[in-house]
Amino acid sequence: MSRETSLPAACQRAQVQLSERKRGELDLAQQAALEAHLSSCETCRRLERGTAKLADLLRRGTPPLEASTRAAVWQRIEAESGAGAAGAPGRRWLWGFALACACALLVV
Amino acid sequence: MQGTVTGDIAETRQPYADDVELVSRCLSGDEVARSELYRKHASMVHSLAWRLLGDPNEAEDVLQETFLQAFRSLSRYRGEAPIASWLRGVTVRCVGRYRRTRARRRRESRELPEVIIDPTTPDPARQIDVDLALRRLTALLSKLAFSRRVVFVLHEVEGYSLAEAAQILDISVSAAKKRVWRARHDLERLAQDDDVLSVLFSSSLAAERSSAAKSPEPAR
Repeated sequence: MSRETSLPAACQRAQVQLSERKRGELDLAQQAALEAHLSSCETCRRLERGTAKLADLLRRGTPPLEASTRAAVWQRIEAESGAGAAGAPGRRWLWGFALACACALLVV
Repeated sequence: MQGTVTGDIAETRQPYADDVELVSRCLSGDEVARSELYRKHASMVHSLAWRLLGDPNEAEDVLQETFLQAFRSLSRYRGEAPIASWLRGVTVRCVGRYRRTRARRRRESRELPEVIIDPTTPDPARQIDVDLALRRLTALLSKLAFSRRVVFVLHEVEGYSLAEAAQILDISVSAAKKRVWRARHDLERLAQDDDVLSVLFSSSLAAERSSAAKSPEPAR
């Protein structure tokens, strides 16, 4: 639903470089260019810090998976995947192998 | 996420030998291995699903669907990345399918909570109600294009590099780069319409100015 955004090309580049800088992926010249841009671009500083706060909020607010929920979901998974051959990968593989062998015999 | 060494030969040849071995056991029908895979990664899958959907019940549904799907397609895991990354990719696809089938119902239940800011509070930014802000954030994220939301969550929240996020999503790195700046830009624009989240943005600015006035940031 997002409308197409318009951000100056220099800011687009800076936003990507901010991500790359966190991972130590920028060389010295790129770092200097980024710093120069940030020193004069309030939009980029705001975008970086604002979204970092949103990300932090989402990270800290993520509810833990309760042990009871984990166990209940596992029971449902076992029930569904154990119900038929479609859910038993090992068995399915064996059937595939058997079929391949039968085809090979036919060819020979 | 290389795990512990389980075999010298496997460890030297495969960067994710533990994962490969576990998957191989799962594929051979080892129920203990399947249970172990679930036990190790259920929380991560649930967290990602919740961050993308913002609803605990839906996250639970996706947790179940993700592992059902994963067990069906484990043979496609090649050990080129940690199994956790592979599972994230499965999770994202399951969330995408889940959203498509339940889009209408979710839209109806996405009413924004009323804004409650105590007028006597001198500085609303410092008194922000975290629960309210979180509810607002999940509502806001639901307005962000899904392709951008996924990159935001994987990169900004879960800490994957853009290249890693691109690999998980099976998109090009340049597409991931485009999505990350668009996501940030959209989030800022959407937050402007929200009196709680816009405070987070403005307080960031205030904090930036105040810290800049006190001491410059150390050079990287």
